[in-house]
Amino acid sequence: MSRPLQRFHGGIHPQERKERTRDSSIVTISPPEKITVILNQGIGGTNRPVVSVGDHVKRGERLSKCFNPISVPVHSPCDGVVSAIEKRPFPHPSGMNTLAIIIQRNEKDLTSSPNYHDTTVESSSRLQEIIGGLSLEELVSNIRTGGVIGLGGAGFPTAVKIRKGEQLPIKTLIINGMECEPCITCDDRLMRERPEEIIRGIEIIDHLLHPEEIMIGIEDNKPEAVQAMKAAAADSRSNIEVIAAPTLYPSGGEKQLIKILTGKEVPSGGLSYDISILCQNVATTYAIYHAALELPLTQRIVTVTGNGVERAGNYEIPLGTAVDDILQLCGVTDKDVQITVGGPMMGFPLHDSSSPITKTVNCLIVEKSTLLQPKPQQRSCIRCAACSDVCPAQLLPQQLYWAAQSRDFDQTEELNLFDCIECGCCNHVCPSHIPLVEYYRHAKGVLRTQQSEKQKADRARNRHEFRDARLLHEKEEKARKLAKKRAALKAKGKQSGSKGGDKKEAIRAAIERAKAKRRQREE
Amino acid sequence: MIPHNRSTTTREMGMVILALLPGFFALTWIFGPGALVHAAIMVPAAILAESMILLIRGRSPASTISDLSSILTALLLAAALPPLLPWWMAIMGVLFAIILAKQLYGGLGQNPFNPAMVGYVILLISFPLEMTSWLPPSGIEGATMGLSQTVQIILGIGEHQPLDTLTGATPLDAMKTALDQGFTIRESQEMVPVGIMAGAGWEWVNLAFLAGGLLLLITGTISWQIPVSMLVALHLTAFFFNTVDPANFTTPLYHLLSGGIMLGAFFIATDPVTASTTPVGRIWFGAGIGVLVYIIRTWGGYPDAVAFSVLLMNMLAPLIDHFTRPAIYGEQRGDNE
Repeated sequence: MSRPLQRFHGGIHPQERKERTRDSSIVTISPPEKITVILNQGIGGTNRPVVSVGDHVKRGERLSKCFNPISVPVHSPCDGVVSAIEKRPFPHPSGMNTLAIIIQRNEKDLTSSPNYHDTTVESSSRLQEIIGGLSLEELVSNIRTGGVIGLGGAGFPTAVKIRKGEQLPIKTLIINGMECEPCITCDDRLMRERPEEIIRGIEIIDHLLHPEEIMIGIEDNKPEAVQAMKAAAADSRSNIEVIAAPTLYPSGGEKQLIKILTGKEVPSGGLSYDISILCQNVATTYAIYHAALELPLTQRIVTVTGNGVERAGNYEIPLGTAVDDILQLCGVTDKDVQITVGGPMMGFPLHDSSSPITKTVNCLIVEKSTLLQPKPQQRSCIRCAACSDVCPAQLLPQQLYWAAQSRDFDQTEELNLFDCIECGCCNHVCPSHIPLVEYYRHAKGVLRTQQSEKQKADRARNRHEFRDARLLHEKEEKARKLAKKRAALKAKGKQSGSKGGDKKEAIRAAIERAKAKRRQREE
Repeated sequence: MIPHNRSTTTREMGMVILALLPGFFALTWIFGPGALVHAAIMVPAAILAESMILLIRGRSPASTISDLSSILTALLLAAALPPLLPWWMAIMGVLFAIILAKQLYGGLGQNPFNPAMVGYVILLISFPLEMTSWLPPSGIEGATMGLSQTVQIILGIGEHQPLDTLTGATPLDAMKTALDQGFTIRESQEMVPVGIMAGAGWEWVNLAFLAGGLLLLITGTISWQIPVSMLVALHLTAFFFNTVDPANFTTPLYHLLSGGIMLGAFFIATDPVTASTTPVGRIWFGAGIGVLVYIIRTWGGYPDAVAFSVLLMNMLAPLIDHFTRPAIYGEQRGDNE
């Protein structure tokens, strides 16, 4: 079955540099002595710990509670004791510190297997029986409390995506196995070695959302993965189409992949649901399968590569393992290295190598500082528009740059800054070596800050106005009560009767008023 | 960290300079070594002028000069000047181009107007006689002026014939004068040195610049929109008037191979800094130049019009960009479902 594939605008062919790790099987790492579980959930805010220092925790035990709907709890990847709850560095472009739970591993935990993969994969029909016994709500809840988020990079909670998909009909389910970013091979290995579990995960989403069609997109530079997925999909109860798409960066971008496979475009400023499409990464799907069986997400596969690494490869790493531990394991002897988190196109430099691995870290590139090529000299923009030619979002990067550079942030918004997916194609082709994406990230940051400050100011004004209104109301109320009391006092001389009833009446009326006011406020 | 492709601004500029070679070769063959002498004077002048301003601005001259853009500006202007123009006028032109049109706006990338064309127009307005006095295309008969004599005339030293006995109007100029005086094309052609397709000698110069331009297109240094739309617009406009009244309006081919058209279409109008940047905008930009060239040549006060047309369209480029912004991903929907 072949499907006419579409092309997205622009795109580039960067050096792939996947040879080094594409043939290294996944190696599972045991939890190190110390595990640092990060509570920060990105846009979902920071989780609140539910354990305290000194508590014994078991592998897979939930460590935190979250109140924000777009965040998920975190779990312990090993048996151990909570030794501290404090701020620690973590992989983030800003290099900031964030709250973390530090767990001292039990000695004996080494003997028990840290790997789910050792449990046999349930067959398609057996899985149906298991999930058939759960309500849809229970199933989604397992995915949420299992801590599953998008493992392709964005880290958006999977359960939120699925719930949203339940409300709107999803016609097309797209599984993203493109892995277009250079250097990274963790999804490739996962698809080659554990295709059945990915397929089981897809079957769960199929069970929840009943899409009309299911497609797995894989770049054609991964023929073994295509083969493995095709073989596994053939045994599935769901009708899954495995599609090899031409290699072109950034074909793994959600919007680009949707365009390639369906020819449709996600509306600017909208989400894929708007055109009845749901996208999931292969590693996420893999995690969904385990979460549905109540095995929370406590490890992920990370590609470790670069010229500073002796034993490059794909490692299944317990979440919370320090990068330092991984470097030691992979034979990084040189202390003078530069580490990039993520791929060479979209990754960011790691500021502190004691940072732990988090759910969204898919790759570590370790390069010897002495071997780093000197940065090419940045020159003036000559408006050659090579960037516009490659921009997959069809923006005008060069005009965005001029606007961002002159701090005309309104103009950047006007030029659809927020449609920029930060893929780095423009950086790649710029003959003047301008780090364009950095300008866009900065402009986005400024605009977001402006927006949140405006919201804050609005809230403060509303609060103030509400307080004024309340004070006025209280004053009136007091006056009215006083008048009433006086009247009652006057009347008391004449007759004494149903005073208690009046009071109850007044309380009920006050409650009614308060309720009405709250409703008004919520609106 | 980011794996970068090998294209650099220096490389692009170098490519354009390389592509100018056939044009310079043709100019030297037809009109003698004047263009080369001018280039030899103007390139150092451009480097000196730019270095001076950069020092005043507290920047490192070496790292900026190495982008080759000032050298390219000097060469473009040298290719456009009459071959015997006195040295100090040539230097004045290049100083205006580098200092006034480029550095005072903030250097490469910041200038709204094409520097070489600003220098050219300032010279044209200041010295109209000298700027329209060209040598006859003696190279066709194999007898151009020698290098030493050219240098002497340009530098104004030694004994040489008075300039006006050596030079004359360009074919484009002569043809315009004749037409203005009421002669028909056929009659004018008797008075104007005519070649096979256009003005004698000029057709070869234009074909040489066209060859260099094609090299730029093939190597992807420039995109096709501006040169193609400019030439097509000029051709169509000329074709229209030539069809309506062939007695008084010259042929499209004559227009395409006269004056500075090919130099303008492939080397001047395509300057990315001052041109429109959107794909559709570039078409409008080039077409605008093509039409303006025809209007100014036919009804304006100057025989050639590439410089004026380019500068006029430079002014419009930001506006064109504003109105030709391409639809972004996710904007041209509607037919999705």
